[in-house]
Amino acid sequence: MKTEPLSSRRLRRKPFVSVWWWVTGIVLSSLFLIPLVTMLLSTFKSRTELGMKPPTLLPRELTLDNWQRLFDPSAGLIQSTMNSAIVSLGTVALTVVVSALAGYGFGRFRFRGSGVLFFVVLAGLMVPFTVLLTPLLVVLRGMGLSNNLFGVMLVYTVYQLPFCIFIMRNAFSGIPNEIEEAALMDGCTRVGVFRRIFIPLVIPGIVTSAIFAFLNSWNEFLAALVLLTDQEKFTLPIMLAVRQVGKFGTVDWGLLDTGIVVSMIPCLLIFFLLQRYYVSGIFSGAAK
Amino acid sequence: MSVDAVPIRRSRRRRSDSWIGVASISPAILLITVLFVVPLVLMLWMSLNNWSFLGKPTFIGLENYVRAFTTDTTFVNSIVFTLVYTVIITPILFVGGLALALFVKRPGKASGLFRTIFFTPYVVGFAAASFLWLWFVNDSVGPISAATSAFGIDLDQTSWLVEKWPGLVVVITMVTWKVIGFQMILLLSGLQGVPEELLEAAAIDGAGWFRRLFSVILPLMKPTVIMVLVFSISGSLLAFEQFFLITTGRPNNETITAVYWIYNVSFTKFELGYGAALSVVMLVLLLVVTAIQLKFLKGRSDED
Amino acid sequence: MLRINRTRLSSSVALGIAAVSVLGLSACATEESASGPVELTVWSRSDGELYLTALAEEYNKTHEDIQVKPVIIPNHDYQSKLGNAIGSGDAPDVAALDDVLAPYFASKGAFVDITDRVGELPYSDDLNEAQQSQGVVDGKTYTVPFTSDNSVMFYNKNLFAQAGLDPEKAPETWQEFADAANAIGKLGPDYTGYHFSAGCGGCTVFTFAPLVWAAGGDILASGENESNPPATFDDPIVAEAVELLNGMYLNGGLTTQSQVDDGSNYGGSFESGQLGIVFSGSFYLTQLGTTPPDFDFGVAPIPGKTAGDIASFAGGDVLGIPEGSGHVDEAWEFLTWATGDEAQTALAEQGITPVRTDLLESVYSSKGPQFAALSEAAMNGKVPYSIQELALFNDANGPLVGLMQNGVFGDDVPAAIDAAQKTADGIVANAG
Repeated sequence: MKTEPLSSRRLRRKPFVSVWWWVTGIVLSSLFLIPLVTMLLSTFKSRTELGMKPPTLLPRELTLDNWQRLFDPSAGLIQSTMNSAIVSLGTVALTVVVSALAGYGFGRFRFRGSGVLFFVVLAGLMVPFTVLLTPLLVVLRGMGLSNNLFGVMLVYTVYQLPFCIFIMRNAFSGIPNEIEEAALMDGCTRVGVFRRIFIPLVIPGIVTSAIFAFLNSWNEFLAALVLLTDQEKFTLPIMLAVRQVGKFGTVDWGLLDTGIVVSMIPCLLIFFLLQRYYVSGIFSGAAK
Repeated sequence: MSVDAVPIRRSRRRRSDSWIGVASISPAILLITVLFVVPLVLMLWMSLNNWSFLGKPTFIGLENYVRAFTTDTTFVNSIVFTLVYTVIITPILFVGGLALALFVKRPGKASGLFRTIFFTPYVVGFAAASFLWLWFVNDSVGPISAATSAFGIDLDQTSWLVEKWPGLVVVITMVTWKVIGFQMILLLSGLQGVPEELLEAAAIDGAGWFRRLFSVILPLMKPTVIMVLVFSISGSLLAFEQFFLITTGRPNNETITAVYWIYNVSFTKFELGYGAALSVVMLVLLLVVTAIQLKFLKGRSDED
Repeated sequence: MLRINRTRLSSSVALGIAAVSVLGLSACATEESASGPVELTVWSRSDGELYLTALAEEYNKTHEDIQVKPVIIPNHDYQSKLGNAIGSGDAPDVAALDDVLAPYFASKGAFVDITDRVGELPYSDDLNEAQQSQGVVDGKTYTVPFTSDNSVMFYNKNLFAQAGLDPEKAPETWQEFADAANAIGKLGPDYTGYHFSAGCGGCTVFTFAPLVWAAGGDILASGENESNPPATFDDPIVAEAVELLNGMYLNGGLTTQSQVDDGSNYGGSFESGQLGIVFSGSFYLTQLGTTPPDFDFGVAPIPGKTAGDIASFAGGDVLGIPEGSGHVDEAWEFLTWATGDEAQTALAEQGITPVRTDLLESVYSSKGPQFAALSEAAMNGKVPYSIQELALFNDANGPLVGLMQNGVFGDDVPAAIDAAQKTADGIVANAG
């Protein structure tokens, strides 16, 4: 009886189990990828073909029309991509710093009102955003930050904070006290402990916050539209919406698909670059 | 986050150090005060007014709130529908996300690849993903009908976007496809913190797979579980675009969510004051739900 | 002098003052223009992107002291963006606006009163009447028409021939219209007779209202409470029109494809040659012009019950000068130019119907029979005047869309009419 689990553990590494693991993985992956592949194929279909009944699976004739229209220099795509990049990267930087600090505060210290304050922070996750935008615009205007990319960046940061502070609080509070105490005893300053000991330990949390903040600010539409009024300051989702949705809400499916593909690229890149931090043993080693 | 499972009860630092904690949360609190609390107070004020989008507001006290629960049956129905949606989608995302996390937990390049694939749909924006699925399920020009007819199957898709439950299934499928990879990532980092030795010890003690999951893994990653659930449930209770774009409320506005109705009231009927009141109602509802979750899930084992 | 009516504005930004006092910061006043040309920001929904950009270029070439800067806002969110901007004081100098929204915005004091200025235009009597009256509240004028977009019938002549119909003779009555659609629907599962976006209120009112008007009915009561009139879904002609479409649905001329279309597939499969009839506007003619389909199509007016009765929905944009614009005189200068011969001719060249009835014949109808049909529609155009137009008709969750869903695609027209009427009455009462 006692040997059974051991042998089953050994079994897990045997080819038979591995085959099922692969099969499951491939089936699941197809489910996730089929919609994306269909979309990618559609970017090479003409407008007429996309309206055809019954629809075609593979493009009947390859056309780059959608790509050309999207990258038409007069379309302002480059400018809006730059704007989006500035706002998103700025949001990521600000969010990571502010939420790491706050996570440290909430996770490592106990002070009067910390529970209530944390709940106020979480409340940011729970308010319908559409109506709040109107007063938000008024506040930003009062600060002289309406129609300003930095203003948008601040707004984005504030609405990523609830989730990111939650993550960071969890990360910091999970660090055993002994580590901190030992370091302090070794003569580390508190800042030193924070920078040299804690930060490496909470890397997975920082990575999650960064990815989350980037994706949300990269794809956000409504706040950017309400808060920005100059065409040159518009972000990518606004420009895409202008191009993709025409009279009466007619969707230009080819441009829609192409736009999605284009906006996915930086997100995937970021994820790809950062995901290794999730599984690197960096922290299980250090925490021991 | 991944360390949250380390099974050591921490005694928090002495009170004399608490100023450091206060100082380090102050940037966050400052930002949140200016750009969340202040607008929120203004929204509260709006909710007490008959505030058309443009023109002069008139103070009407709690009239908007009374209206929300008396004459506006659509709002009450939309809350019920939102709750139904949340109750269905939350376990799907959580259980599915956890299963995927366990699946891709094992080290190696292939795991990394699958992880990336499962995560990929999450990078598509919500509006874009909704449009995409609207097109997928279109029974005359969408790829699903293309695929089925290519195999000679005559699939009747007419009800998918017309009736309530089929429409809900379409939305749930879309949301699952899009969001589950993110929940997987969150849960995965929680899982990483569960020490392998503990699992082996449990296995040696004869604990089966389920037993290990429920008595070792989940309790050890409790902070992550709480966070994922709070995040997921709040997100579902605020669902909007997926219904606004896919079901558009069909049939008979039965698939309207609360935020969808708030948007409609504010920007189609231009009743911004009323929209603000409905937003406040939703905020209160979400805060209550979250408070219950925190209390319920945290139990006694964790402080505050 | 640039006089800005600040009193009305200030009440609408009470919120702003509250915020400012909380923050202890002062809002920026409207900035004084430095020397050099005045920059005039002009907002338009994305529909207007092509022609507005072209017009702005043209204008900027000939005007040294005023330079127009177009800003294009996504269609869906135009009214929330404009409303938020005017309400908070970030208004543009000129706003192009869907004419159905003009009564609401004008009645709420969003635009500068331009009654006298419009009256002095040499062509003030030649502006498209339906669109012109959209900007009039209590006898005062706040907007001028800019572009016309009238609904007409587009039909595929090849499919007409295939279905045994005369391709050179467009349907002239409701009955002929229904018969033609049903015949084409019978060509096979890949063919549709008639398509309209029944999940999209704006699309539905654009295509359905003309059927009612052409038969002598109406969707709004006339004569009472002019800015917020009751809807008349209970008009017997409305019921008959719903029955007509319902009959087409039952006979295969109309499919559930129309029921679920929220506008995203507005033209259906017309461009791929698989749709017989669609009601659309001048923009569609332009679109079909840029990528010519491989079949012949005709353009004809939307018919009533008897031959010769026609009607059209007068869509398109109007121009207004938002309260808070720092450059009212310069903005008016642009409005004059935009409605003048040069700009309207340039628009006509792009396929947009001019708003000047005195120019229709010379610069538009002369382009061909399809354009002549659009001109004829423009002369017979009508548009619902109500501050509640969006909630009554355009709202995808409103009574008109409900009537389509349950009446046209359901089985109980009278019940659907009753329900729509009841919802509409509630909307009208609420705004009162």
